Amino acid sequence: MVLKIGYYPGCSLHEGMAKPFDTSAKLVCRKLGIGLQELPDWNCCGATSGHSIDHTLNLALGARNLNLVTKLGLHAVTAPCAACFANLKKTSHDLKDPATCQMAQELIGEQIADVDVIHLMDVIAQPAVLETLKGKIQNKFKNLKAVCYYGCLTVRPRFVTEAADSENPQTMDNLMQLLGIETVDWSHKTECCGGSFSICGPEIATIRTNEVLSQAKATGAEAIIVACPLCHSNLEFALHAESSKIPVVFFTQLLGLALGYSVKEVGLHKMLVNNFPWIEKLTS
Amino acid sequence: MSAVKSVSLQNEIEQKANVNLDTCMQCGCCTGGCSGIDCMDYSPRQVIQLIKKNQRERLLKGKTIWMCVACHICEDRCPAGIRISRLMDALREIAIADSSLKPNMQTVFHKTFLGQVKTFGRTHEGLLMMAYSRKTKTPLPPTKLIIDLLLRMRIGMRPPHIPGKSYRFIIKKVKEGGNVHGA
Amino acid sequence: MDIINKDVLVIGGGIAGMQAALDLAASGCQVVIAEKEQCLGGHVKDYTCLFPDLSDGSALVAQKIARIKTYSNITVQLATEVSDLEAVSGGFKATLTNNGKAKTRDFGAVIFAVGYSNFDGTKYGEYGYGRYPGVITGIEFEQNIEKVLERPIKSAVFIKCVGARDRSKGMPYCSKVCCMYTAKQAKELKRAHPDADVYVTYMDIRANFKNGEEFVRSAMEEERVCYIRGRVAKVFPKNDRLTVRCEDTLMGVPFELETDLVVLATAMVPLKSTNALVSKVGGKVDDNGFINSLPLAESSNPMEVAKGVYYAGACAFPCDVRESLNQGSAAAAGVISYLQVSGRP
Repeated sequence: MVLKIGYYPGCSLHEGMAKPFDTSAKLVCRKLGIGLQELPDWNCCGATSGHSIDHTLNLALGARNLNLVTKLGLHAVTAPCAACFANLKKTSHDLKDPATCQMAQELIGEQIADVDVIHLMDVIAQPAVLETLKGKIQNKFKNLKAVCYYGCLTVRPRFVTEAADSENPQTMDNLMQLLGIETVDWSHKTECCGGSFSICGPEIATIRTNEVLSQAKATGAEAIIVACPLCHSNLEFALHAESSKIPVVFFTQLLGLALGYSVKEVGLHKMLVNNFPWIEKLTS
Repeated sequence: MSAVKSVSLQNEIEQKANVNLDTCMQCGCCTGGCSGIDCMDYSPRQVIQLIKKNQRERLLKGKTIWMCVACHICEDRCPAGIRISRLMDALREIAIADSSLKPNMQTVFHKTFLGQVKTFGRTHEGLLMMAYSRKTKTPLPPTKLIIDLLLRMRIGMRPPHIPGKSYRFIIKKVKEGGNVHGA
Repeated sequence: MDIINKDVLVIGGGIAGMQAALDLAASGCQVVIAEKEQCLGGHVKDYTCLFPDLSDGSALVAQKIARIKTYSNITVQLATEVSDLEAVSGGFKATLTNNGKAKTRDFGAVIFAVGYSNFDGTKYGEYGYGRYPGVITGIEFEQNIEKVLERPIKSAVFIKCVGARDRSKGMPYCSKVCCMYTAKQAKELKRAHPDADVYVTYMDIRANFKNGEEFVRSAMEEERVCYIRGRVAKVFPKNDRLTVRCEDTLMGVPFELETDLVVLATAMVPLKSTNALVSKVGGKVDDNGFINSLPLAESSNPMEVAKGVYYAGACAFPCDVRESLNQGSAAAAGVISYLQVSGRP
């Protein structure tokens, strides 16, 4: 069974720090029968800056991306990056308003159809895909205690993301538990890391990132699992400055290991903490 | 500041952000959970009250709207369901359209970011960092970090994307109408 | 229309239902109380320190039960649910289910006194109810008061309006009694731990009961409970205690404080499935699931829900103990006059 869905990598996964997120996501989806179709000539989603200062540009960027999905003959698109997911989903939500839709159609010069936007976590968590996953797991983790960090944009605002719970979400935790990982309950699952303010406003981002890290460390977690490139780099860089041995990894990388891919294939060797004993933590 | 109600800024924000500020109970839940509060001058709750008091200057020239990290915690928890993030976006848009606004780190970042988006259709992390660093005269990240990232091939080395025709079309359309703010 | 059978069914054996049954029985009616729990008394049997004379809820309930026992015309059916209700010519047919066995009986009038439930605290994930042991609800405070007061605490924070006045993820209405019982609980805690810092975080203080304002003021001025105006944003564990994040809106200052106990005043919510029975007999339920009385100009008694159907207590809206008793008596008066007027010549 191949589930066809549009794939939107976004700028960070395509070229930047989070390339391993893209690589591992593609490997995992291939094994799970999820047919990812990358949107041709997709454009930036606008990230934080778009909606912050230019609402019209932001709408145009989002509408064009969603239209590219329709052009592929598809009705849904997935994005691993939390910010891209949030922006696309917000645009899809805004386009339900006739006036906004009209403006968007003029901006992109195309007719706009409804497109569903689903985060990759939720695509994998669909019952049919979960069954496939359970059947294809080759290795499970043992003695691996980790925290799942959802950040802001995979769950908020609820009226856009339609997340079941934006304070104590379980989607990523449930997926990781299937792999044998001991996911620890903690209070800062969805607290903000500061996002792009690590670049343009480090005075606030440092406070936020440090708070998330101190709560994560207090659980005794050996690893932090994330679903957003900016959460990833913010946490990773802060831990690197402390010469910490706690790796920050994308959830698709661990899914990849469990599905039988190697440490190199899922890009775990590219993490700043690249000497974590992943293989020792796996059983067949 | 007068205690008499004046609706001009409130009307403008309510239209732009599609909110009803009179549903605000001033409970402070937004402020309690705010991710940017440590660096703000007015709290999100005070921002709503200031809008109602027509305090345009204070809001547009203040730090708050630029230290909002758009985490959406405020609007997710607000018992009145006010779209506070969207309200902040609206204030930022009004601020940036004001040519007398003094640039700050965040406005330079947003303009640089969108400038690259308009040119290349996508952002290039390396180019973005270098352009921002040059404009703001802020140092690049620590050397050890850069070396470790390079060694692990985490820094994208390829040249920036060249967007297709349908993308250039939308940029032209945005420039013709709607709000385009320099850069 | 002649009422064939003049027995009265009181659904719910809490204080509202018990009061109604007593007033009906004293007037000569045959009353059946159908109570789903194993004993009478509803929520009030667990309340301590009833405002304002600080008497015990269990004592009040015991008094009512003792008086009920003196009436041979009150039949109490415990562990019994009303699984169905129908309006028929001359009255009502009710199906009473006990231990899986259902029996149908005829009644001339029905009083809904089914009480309330509490808003599920886990819906406020930011408060950590159900995750952190130091976070309890107001009703749990009441039900386990001895144990709670024994806890060695240096600080406690009461959070009001949990699930109330919240259009986003709670109920939109004000749950009316939380301000009073929170003041009461804060006072009790302070008395048990005079050196502890006890805080009440609020959006408003609604003390519109006889001696209510004075009572809340005394909590602040005599017991020195610290009232802070601000709706708590988050509670999380840190340094083996709980950290509460809030804004003091009167000062305009966001703050954090470390505490040992967090008490959530959760809203009183309707028992939707039981209240829905009311629609089977011509009654209406509001958007929140509470029973609606008839518009005042259309009814002969303020507790009237539909012909022959009355309500009493929190099934129509949150109310306190005194109000439940008042409504129980008022519903009984309504039934008595209804049965007399529509009876034999």
